[in-house]
Amino acid sequence: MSVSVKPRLFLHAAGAAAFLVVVVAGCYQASRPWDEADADASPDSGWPLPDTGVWPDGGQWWPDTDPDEIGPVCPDPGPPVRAWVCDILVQDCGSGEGCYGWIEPSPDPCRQEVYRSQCLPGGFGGQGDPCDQSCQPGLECFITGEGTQCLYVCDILGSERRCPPGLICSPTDMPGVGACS
Amino acid sequence: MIHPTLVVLGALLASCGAKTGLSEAHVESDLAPEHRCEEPCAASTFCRPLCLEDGECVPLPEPECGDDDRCTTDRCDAALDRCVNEIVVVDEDRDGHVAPLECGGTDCDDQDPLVHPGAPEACNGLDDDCDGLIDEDADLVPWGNEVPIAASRETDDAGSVVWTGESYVVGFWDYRDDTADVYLLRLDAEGNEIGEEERVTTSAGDGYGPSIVWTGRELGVTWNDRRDGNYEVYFARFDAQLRRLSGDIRLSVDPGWSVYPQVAWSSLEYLVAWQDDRLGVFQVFARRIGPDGPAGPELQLSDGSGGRGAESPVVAFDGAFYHLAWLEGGLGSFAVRHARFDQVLEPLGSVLVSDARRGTAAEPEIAAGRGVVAVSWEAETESGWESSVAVLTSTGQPVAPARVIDPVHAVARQPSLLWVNGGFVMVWSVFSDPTFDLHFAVIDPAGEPVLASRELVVGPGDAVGAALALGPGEVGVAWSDSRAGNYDVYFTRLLCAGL
Repeated sequence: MSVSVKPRLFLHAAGAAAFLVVVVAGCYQASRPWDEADADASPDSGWPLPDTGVWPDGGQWWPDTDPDEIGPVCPDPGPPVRAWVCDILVQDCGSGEGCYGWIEPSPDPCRQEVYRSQCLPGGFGGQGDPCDQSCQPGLECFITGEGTQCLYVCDILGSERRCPPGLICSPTDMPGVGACS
Repeated sequence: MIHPTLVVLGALLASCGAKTGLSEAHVESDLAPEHRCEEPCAASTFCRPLCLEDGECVPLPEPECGDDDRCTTDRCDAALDRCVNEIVVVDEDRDGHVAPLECGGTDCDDQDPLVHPGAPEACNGLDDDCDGLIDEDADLVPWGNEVPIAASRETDDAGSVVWTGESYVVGFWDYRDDTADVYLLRLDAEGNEIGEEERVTTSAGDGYGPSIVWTGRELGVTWNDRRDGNYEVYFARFDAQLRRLSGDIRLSVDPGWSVYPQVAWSSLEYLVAWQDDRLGVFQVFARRIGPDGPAGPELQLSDGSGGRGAESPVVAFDGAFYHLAWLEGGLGSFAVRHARFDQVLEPLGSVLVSDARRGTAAEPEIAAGRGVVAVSWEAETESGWESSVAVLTSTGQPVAPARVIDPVHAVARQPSLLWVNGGFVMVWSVFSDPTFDLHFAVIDPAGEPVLASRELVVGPGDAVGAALALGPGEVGVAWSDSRAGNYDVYFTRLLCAGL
């Protein structure tokens, strides 16, 4: 079973038995203090230049010159909160259980997300299998670009937990956690 | 007839036999004066005919000396008293070789002094030595230097690289403080960093990618991030110095996973394509972006019939049409589909290009060249992974059966493609236990190998995910490399060398 790894793998909550996805509305249209002194973008792009603004902390934003255009206006939100109950790489859960991770969005996109893990009863999906029956312990569910499937996790930062030969330990959106693809 | 102000160098070509009469630089006309009279004046000549009429010498029209040969100047030579049709060639670039070819010259580009018979052939897409072949004696060779860029303690990953005419721009994502963001960084041709990196994503949710394209005036950048609680696709414009020209434009509107965006430029608009599961199964969606922002709504490009998914889209523009490739099928049974669209995304036809008997496909890539398009992919086989490439005409017809890129190695994965001067450069990862190395090769527009597989990057870590850019007479390569124990983005070049 082959998997696509480009450009990366996205952890999917289906690896765990249950998970509530919190979809939030944007907050970035709130008041945005700005001045118009910093509008020196392109001298010759041929396309229109937006007025630019500056946050008090020096961050820059771009106003909504188009309804689809939004400003990436969050000041540095700081690192996400890592709320691991168990270690995804070590798989330090009880017999028959797996340590499954997921990413919990913040209700405010300008605040930290929460990276969570929990011991849950192990599923049945093996390497490359679809995630619909959840994954065996030691595997997580990823969106791969070639289906949503269970993959072995690996240590992206070192050699503690390597992939079988021929598989690539690819980065995922859970820091430090790779997936064998 | 050549413009008479051109320098007449016909005499230089006295030894060149050609239809244009080069065996004799000065060609006499057999034409007699058109206007004879009953009684020519005594002073009448061929070139100045005079006719005695009523006791007076009346001039007659001069003879027509034109020979309908565009390679000659035509005149009636008073001294010789006959028509002279003189071969005209020029040496405007002063390289000692005259043009044009159709008049017996030998210089196939009289505006470039580096192009002439005997000049060394370079990897520049030109027929440097005027033998009718392009880059035939040139070779791509590894630069030999592998430069880490934007190295951090945490994982970073190459996404895309382009050459702007002034510098390379590498797009990558990088974990810093456990948060992934998308960055742009300029490199000179030696791989030295220019200025500060530009952070593209600044919201709390992780951002990944990017895919970038250089339009000739600006950069179009697309990526996916989680600022809206789920991955959505965004786009922004930057100038060559990485200054922002626009805010972030959210391209995927409906909720659901919207990931793996890829961007192309049509010379008028951008096109971004991505995979989106708003319908419950991933399908390929795309959106055009014009000077005033999105040009129309999102459009679903894959048909999704029969519950088949469509994932990992890649996109290229060939000067007239958009060419996309994506994986079609379901888990364990993906094939690669090529589809062609006009500039308003009207479908013009599609075809499956991978061979399902050789395993389920993954990692599609696409590159458009002069009249041809190449699509590559990897597929797991019984003994490992193989990478393949198929070359299609610009209308989507197969030029030749799909070819296995590297039949030697049992595991050859993640092929990347780039059109370079009449051929497709391919870079892929080869498993050389215990790590992945990068290899490269070149195929011609007929899909035939031009340069056989060679090593580009060898150990000590995994070298994967190569991205390619056509630089100044060279190919820039960015990839993800774990030699330091963690993935960092590295940069190297394939240089042109004479054989």
